[in-house]
Parts: sequence; C-alpha cells; structure tokens
Amino acid sequence: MDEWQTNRAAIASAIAGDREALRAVWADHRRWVAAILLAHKSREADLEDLLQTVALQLCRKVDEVRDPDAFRPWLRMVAVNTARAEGRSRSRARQGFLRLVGRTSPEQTWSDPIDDEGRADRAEHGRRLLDLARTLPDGYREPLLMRCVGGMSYRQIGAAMDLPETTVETRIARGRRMLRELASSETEQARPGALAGEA
Amino acid sequence: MNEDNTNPPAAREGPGRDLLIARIVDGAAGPEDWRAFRRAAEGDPAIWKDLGDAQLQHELLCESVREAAATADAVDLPLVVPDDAPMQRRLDGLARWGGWAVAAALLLIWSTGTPLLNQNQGAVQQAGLLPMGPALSEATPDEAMERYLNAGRVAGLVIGEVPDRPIVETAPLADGTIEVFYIRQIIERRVTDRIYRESIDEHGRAVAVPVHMSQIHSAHTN
Repeated sequence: MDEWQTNRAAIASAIAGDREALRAVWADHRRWVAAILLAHKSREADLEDLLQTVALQLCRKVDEVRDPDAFRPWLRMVAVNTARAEGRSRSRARQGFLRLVGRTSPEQTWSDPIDDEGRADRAEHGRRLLDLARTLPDGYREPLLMRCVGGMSYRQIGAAMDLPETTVETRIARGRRMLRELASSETEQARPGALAGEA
Repeated sequence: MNEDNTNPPAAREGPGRDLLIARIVDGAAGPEDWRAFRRAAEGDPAIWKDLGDAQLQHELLCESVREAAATADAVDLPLVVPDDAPMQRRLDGLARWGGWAVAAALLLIWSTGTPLLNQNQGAVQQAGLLPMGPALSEATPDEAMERYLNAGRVAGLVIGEVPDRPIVETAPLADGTIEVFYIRQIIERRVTDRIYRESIDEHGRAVAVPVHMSQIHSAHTN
C-alpha cells in the first residue's frame, strides 16, 4: 500500500509541467524532504533555507526526471546534495558573521516557550535523541529518520534510497541499537560521580 | 513468518535480537517473530528492557523529527522561478578563475586611491559614488539599493545580485515578530592591471605578493 497522497499519475503530470500537480506533489513530499535534510545537513545549516532551495530545484529541474518511479530517488538526491553543499557553505558564512558581530549560535539563543515541565523534558529528550541520531554513520541515520515521517515502510524507504528492503530493515535495527548505546553512554557520563569514579 | 515473509531472526544476541526489536517497534512483527522474541526473553529477560527503551526512543525521536519537519509546511513552491542562467555562467567563470578572483578582491581593498583601468571609468565612479542629492538622501534603503544596482549595471560595475539570500540568524522578538539576519551578495566587476595573491611572510604575517599578468593569462587559458 502506498502511504503517499499523490500517486504516479500526479507525479507524471508534475513532470510534464502541470504546476498544480507539482504543488500537490511538493506538499505531499516536503516533510519527507525535511527528514532527509535533517539526516544530512550540518548543524549550522537552516532547515527552512534548505527546504526553499530544494523547492527551487524541484521547480527548475523536475522536467529532467524521465520516469515517475524515479522521482522519489531523484528528489532524495536533490535534498542530500543540497544539504551537503549548502550546509557547508552556510556554516562557513554563519561562522564568519557570528565572529564579526560577536553573537552566539542560534541554537543557544532560541528558546521554546514550553510551559509544561514534563512536556519540556520529553521534548528536550527527543531533541537530544535527534542530535544523537544525526551522529550515526551515513546510511543509518537517514532510514531511521525516514521511518518517523508518515510511517514510511521499509519497502518505500528502500525504493527511495535504492536499497533492498532487507538492507533497510537491518540498518534501522542496527541504527536503533547504536542510538540506545549512545544514549545510555551519555546518561552514564552525565550521572553524578561518574567522572569521580563513584568512590 | 512475519508480514514480510522473512524468517524470524535468531534472537539471542547481536543482529537477530536487533531485528526482532526493530520489527516489533515498527509493528512489522509476525507471529513467528513474537514466538522467537518470547523464547529469547525466557533466556534473557533483559531483552524486555531493550524493547521498552527502543520503543520509547523511537517515539521520542519521531516526535522530535515531526516537530522539526513541520517547518516544511510553511515552505511552498516559489511563485516565480528566477532565471539565473546568465548569473550562473558568470559564477562558473569566476570559479574557473579560482584564486584569482580572491586576489583581485585583495587588490581592490589595498589599492584605495589607485586609478582603475576601466574604459568607463567615469561611469564606474558615478555608479560607486552616486551624488548624495536630496532625492537619494530621501530614498528608502531598498530604493537606494535598487538605484545602486541599476546604475552599477549600466556602468558595467555590477553584474547582479546572487538570488539566494543565506539566513544568518533568526530570533524571536518580545513583540511577537521575528528578527531575521541575512546576507545580500552583489557581484561586482572591476578592470585592473594589478593582481596580488595572498601569501605568508617569514614572520607568519599575511602579505600581498604581486602576480605577473602572464601567469594569470596562462591560468585562464589552461
């Protein structure tokens, strides 16, 4: 079963130049693109900027896609390349600017107005896990994050990444184990007395 | 047998155990997988804890990913797709020149007061130093910028503005608005007979070293 709202015919129309179809296809895929960008972007790169770049590339180059079935792998590659290329350049630009004006990084200045302490803890824990997930090796973090968007199946992730379904399943399983170990190790280090040898 | 028609992985240790946990977390485990999991749990009850941790982490991770990915809902396709092909050609040209473009920038910084060899020198100076008459002084920053770009284009000083405006920082303000810092990048052009390259002297200081024009021409043609 296909989880996407837009089907092959809509993608074919978008490729053929139907602007409304392209809008629908983008609306259906943009969160998925965001997950791919999250998996590949540098910490400093701004997600919304990257999404805008991907949207622009989609408008400019969607007519280069020859087969609707190749659309998702193509869009994924656009997102991966955008995250890697722009992530690097934006990181350099931002670092230079921050040095000039003496500001701290946005991650440190932005605070979310979450009033409920439990929810804030949960959200903070989730963000920390996302940070840890982004340190996983290439090939592991992306399917792990894709699983979180729209409940993509192993088969759909495999089709988008051009990988066998069994490989996707293995990578997700191993990625989760690595994430458990990373989180456990971090918790252990944060425990009072951990550095002092618990004497 | 699970829904993927694959055999249940051996669950004691390692990959098999991870696969079983992953299938359960993802709701993809079939009866065979559950039987294998229970057998494994009889020998090693710690697998229940791993399953609980994995389920909680998956849930929290997904909440966080969904929260971050929701940013995408605000990003629509552009109404107008700028045709930046001419700009791209110029940027490609600059990339081919590589370090020479940087060196040229150095010269412009250090040669204040040195006459430039632009054929339209008078026009260039007009573009760079538009008279501060009343009209300009009363112009808004955007109007003044637009006038600079237009005059610069006419004079051959300004090639154009890079369409992307990289966001440097955003910050919420107390009144509910958002402060956005971004970079506008203008590509300018100068004609000169002197080019320097960056180098480091024996004391580790940055110095500008003159480059012979013949070297530049040879780099450009290669």
